[in-house]
Amino acid sequence: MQPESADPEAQAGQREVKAFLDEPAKHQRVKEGWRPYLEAKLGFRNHWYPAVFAYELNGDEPKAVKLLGESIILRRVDGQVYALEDRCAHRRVRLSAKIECYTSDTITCWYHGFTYNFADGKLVQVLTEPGCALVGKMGIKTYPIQEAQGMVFVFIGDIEPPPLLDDIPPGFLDSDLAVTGIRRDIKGNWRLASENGFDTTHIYIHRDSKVVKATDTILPLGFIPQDRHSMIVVDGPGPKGVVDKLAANYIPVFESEVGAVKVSATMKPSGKVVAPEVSSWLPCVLKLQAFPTPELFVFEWYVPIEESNHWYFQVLGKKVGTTEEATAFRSEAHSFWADVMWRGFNDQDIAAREALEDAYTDGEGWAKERLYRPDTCIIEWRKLASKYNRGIQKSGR
Amino acid sequence: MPGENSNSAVSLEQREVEAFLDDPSNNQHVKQSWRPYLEASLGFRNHWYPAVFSHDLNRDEPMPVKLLGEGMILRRVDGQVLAIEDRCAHRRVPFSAKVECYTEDTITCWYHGFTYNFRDGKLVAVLTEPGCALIGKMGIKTYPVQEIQGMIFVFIGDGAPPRLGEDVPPGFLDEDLATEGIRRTVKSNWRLGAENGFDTTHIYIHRNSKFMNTTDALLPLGLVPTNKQSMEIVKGPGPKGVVDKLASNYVPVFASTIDNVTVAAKMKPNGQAVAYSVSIWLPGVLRVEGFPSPEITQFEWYVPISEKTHMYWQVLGKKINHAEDAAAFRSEVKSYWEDVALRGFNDDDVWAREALEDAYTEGDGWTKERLFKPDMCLVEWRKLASAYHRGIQKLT
Repeated sequence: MQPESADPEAQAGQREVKAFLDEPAKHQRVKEGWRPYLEAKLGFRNHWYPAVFAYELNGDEPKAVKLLGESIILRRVDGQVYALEDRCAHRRVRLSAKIECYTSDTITCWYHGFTYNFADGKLVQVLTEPGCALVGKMGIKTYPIQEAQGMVFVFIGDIEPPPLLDDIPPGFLDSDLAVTGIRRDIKGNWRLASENGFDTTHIYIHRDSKVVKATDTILPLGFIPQDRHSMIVVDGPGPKGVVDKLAANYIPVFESEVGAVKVSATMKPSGKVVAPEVSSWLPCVLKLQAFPTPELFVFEWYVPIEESNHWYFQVLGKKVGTTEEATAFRSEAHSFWADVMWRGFNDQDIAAREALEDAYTDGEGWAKERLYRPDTCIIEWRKLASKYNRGIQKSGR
Repeated sequence: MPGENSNSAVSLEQREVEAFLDDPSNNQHVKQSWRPYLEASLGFRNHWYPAVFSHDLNRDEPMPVKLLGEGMILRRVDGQVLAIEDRCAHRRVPFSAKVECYTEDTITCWYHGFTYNFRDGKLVAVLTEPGCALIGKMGIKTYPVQEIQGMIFVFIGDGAPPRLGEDVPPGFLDEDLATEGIRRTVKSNWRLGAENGFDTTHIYIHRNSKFMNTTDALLPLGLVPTNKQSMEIVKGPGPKGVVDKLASNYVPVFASTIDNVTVAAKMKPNGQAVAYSVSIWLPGVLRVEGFPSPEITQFEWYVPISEKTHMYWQVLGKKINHAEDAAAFRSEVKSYWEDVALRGFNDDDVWAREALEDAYTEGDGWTKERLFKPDMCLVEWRKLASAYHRGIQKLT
């Protein structure tokens, strides 16, 4: 982790953001700092993204998945996962429309029998024209794959892929971290999901959540930054992200008033304040330290599918000493946290994202939003993503 | 049927197509020859298209249909089928939103009572303003109609139509041909329907069909052209089309291998080869001779409805000598072939066309396709359609 950024340039940038939040009309040029982010409806190209969980590819059955608008077909061959473009080069139909695999390392197009090798995408046979001149000379795109922490990561891009470590939050690959999770296809552009997760005052929507009711966790109504430099902008080497030290640099708000009416967070006699730190990392992943309970970590990916939906990867992590502890943790996650956290808490986020999707399409949110001071973290994330992304994904791939 | 075309200009063209299929990037200019076809997402204008079966219009009830993006209303008046534009001249609403007919040869717009005659489309009354000055002076479009072989054909175009015989496959209007069929809406562009049908290696998808499991028909995995001149280009006079003589000019592929795995067509002890010739004709109609059995011919129209849908006509024809034979054939189609062939075989095609629709829209197929040698027939069809169509249909 990089030390807190205190260079004059960064401070000047943060002063500008403050001025913009106080008076947007006079400081419109600040928005130039996140113009690339506004273009990235389908996400950022040349990054690693999780595609599926490893257990989803247990047999050798191929599985189709769409990421950043690209249709991909995954298959485990001799234990290793491969990924091919899910379109036959001949007439562009989806191989996954009707999967035909005659051998363990090929896929045959259901339409005219064009057969491709999973390892390199090369055309190895055409069943309807044996000896076809195209065999060996033509192929379809393959994608670099890495399997780590029970997840299968795909590199969507054209460049030589950088290390996976550059595209995941620090600590995620630690060998003593056990992780487990689920994924869901959720309505809403990926950026709205990402911003909702990183937003320090959105927790207002969680005040009556199952996590608050079923655990001794205390959640304030919101967190307000104490000073304008409370965000740490981590600009590498390694992963690039914005870190918010909630415990150290924020004031929790437990109570507010509307006229004579008080609105309070749910208080508990021996409650624990959690989530001392939240961070957002390129290309689209959130990390929460010590949440939903002090010994757990939350990792969330918001992987673009199309412009109006994303894969929501909900992953919990815990430091463990033995494989038995890891097994016990996974079992706890799927028997308890799946209900309390992944559904009971995060379903509120999902509802908020769906509402944001309407707000930022029909409601023209990108042009008409009026951010306020606690949204500084969102602006810092937009600026970081705009500056350090490796490319904008375009439609029509 | 005109003889095989073998002049040297055609041979040169076919050599170009061959070069294109071998190395598309160095022969991109070949694609110019089917540019009009790429524009014809709504089909070709100034041609005859089947709209409905005769039995769809047995009474005098008006029937709305859409062809090539144009809405029209068909109605049988004194036994004769008439067709008018499905839009009131006043506010352009479709009559079919709520059909109102007060007399046997008029239609009244549900909105303001504008009433039109089916024969000439003239405005004959306005119920909300009797004596309206527009009466007799204004009208809507009518369409030429012909009824034959139990089908209602409509001419979509401008000016005097050519003979219907120019726009149907040779033999279809023969008096001794009995026909029977079905039609249904398929979710793909009409060209993808036509190309899937004419494609000689798409038969790979039919190898496990109900038809293959219940008849003695033999079907290879694919058919590969033995020489590059095996297509016959029929340029008229009369209908324009491309004829593929499958039995004489193609090599059937019955088995292939991937590594040491063999993929084989279904073999049968007394199997019968089917489909000795397949041809495609303007404006978009397929003829398969000797299919689904040696004495039957299958005709298929892929009539554009919108850019994303077409009406799929499946009509079987058989030469007969007596009226009783015709009735027996129609009954055989309804009781047997409809289930075994028209559904049990062609449902695979419908499914493939819907997959092609995604491939040619989201998958950008018209630009990114990589055709192979057996697709030469598709290239010849695209070129013929581009050269001999009578106009590109546009949305107005």
